Amino acid sequence: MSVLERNNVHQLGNGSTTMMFAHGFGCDQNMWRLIVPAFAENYKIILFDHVGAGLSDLNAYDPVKYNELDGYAHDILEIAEALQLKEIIFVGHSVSAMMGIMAAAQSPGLFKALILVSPSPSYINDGDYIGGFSRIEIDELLASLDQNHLGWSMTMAPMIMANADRAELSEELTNSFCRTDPTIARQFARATFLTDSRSILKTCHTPTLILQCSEDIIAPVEVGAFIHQQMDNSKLTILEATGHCPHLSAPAETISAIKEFL
Amino acid sequence: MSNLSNEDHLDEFLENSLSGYISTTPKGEIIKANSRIAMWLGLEREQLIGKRMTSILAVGSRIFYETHLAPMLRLKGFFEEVAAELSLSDGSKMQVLINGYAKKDENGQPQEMRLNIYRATERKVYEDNLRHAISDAENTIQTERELAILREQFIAVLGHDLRNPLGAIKTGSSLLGRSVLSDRDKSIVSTIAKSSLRMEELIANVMDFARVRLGGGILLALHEVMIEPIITHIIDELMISYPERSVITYFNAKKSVRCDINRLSQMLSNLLANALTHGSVDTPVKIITEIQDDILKITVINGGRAIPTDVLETLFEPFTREANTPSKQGLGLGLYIASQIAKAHGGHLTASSDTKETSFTFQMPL
Repeated sequence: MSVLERNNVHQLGNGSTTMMFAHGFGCDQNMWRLIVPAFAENYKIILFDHVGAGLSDLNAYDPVKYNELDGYAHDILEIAEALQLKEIIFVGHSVSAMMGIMAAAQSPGLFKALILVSPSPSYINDGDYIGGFSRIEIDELLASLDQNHLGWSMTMAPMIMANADRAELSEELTNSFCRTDPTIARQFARATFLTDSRSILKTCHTPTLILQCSEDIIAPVEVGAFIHQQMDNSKLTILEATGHCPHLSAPAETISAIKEFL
Repeated sequence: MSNLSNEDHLDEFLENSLSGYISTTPKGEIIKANSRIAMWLGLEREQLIGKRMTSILAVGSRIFYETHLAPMLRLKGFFEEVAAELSLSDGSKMQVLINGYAKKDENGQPQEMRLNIYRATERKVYEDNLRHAISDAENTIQTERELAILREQFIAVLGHDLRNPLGAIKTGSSLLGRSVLSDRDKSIVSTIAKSSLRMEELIANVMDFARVRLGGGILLALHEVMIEPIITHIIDELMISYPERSVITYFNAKKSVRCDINRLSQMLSNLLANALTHGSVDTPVKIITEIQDDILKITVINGGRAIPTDVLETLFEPFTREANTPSKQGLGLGLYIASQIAKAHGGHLTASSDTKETSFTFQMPL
């Protein structure tokens, strides 16, 4: 199983510069569907699913490796190596933003820029630091994931659906949309919500754009400001968009913020 | 039917439904809600308007909603039967199932997110019970497995370790047998020698059992042989112990058979010894050997009382023997091992019994 099959890597677009899109917790590469067309004309686009999500190879899931976000960051570097990518513009949503920073900290030469969509280095409040959640709340989330097995597994069931209103979606993609293996999702949630990556922010000097939504229950505004303050080469843009997924709820605003930065 | 218009009728239906209804803006702000959901939450209906959908969910469901359900609504347009928890104003939680779909405008843009919320508290209890039952069962199975492996390892070690002292006893009795002995001593030495042989058989059975159960299975050394001399030899051997009995044979096996001679002999010897031990003394034991359509079939038949049906069913399982006659039959491993030998040859062993006769049939494809 090659790296490209393992991570269900897709390449499209024209251009000499590469943009690599990494989806966040709870979904897969389909998340970027409203953003990618705006860049496909001028950039080479790399899309992939984290192991355990979407159409990645579930057999490649190694509970030890993926117990840490670093395991996922390593996959990003492996994809880059397999495709011999250079000067990557990395776009990472949510937890994947941190993976991008980890990858860039390990191989600074590989990345031209980082675009962090709704990032958070740590979700748990700690002294002056506002992460958005108390430790008790995160424990409650993890417990509810443990118990909510049926709710998650339903999303695994193959869904046949009429798709007349979005004919451009291929049936295969639609049926697997945001497919999540419940056991893997639980461990991914643990790695996502219990990791404190605040200390690595200062070690990354790659030019970085932070896209922060104005109202996001998962990564509050204070988090965006914290990352900006910690990363010496960063720019913070507060979007009017609300929620945690501006690339879905406000694609136009997200696209123009990225274009302006580039 | 009243004189209400269809629309009023539907509004009334939604308002007084046993499920909760909520509509939100595409961004997740509540714009409509029925009294049922407000009642569950412990709020007035008006208090809900303008709140974010995520604000009425418990923290786990809130994150699930933002990271998974909201994207699903955006891209797929709906989700169904998703388990979630409402966070009620008294601080408690309520289990619900949610269906949601995005109502789109004429340009295909999401206009309104519509959510149906069903109480699932009973279902939650049921699911919790299922989960506990599964985890209990998994623990039990795990414990049982560990115990079984330990038991079988114990048997293997025991069998192996018993061989050495037994070897010493056999050698000793054989050396003593060569000396000049009184009649009394001769008889004692001969009993020791017979008992040692019997014990050696039992230990071999225990070792075979352990070999099968611990995963190794019975290994065969296969050779092309004629079956008739093998059977004749087995009969000759057993006739020494049962000189007063008679065995009738019938052979129609002109072809050679590819088998493990020692193992096949062990199996047939076991079947014949059983027939001689349990069959009625005045009926001869019959052995019928046939090869037909490339199938070898050996049937051992004895007269005497029938094997009860319930015993017949578990005859080939290990450690089964008639409870009333313990010592005579040893450990109850003989037929189990015989059937494992048949299986190792790609064949099988079956038994049938009625008041007239009892027969054991071995069949294997050639």
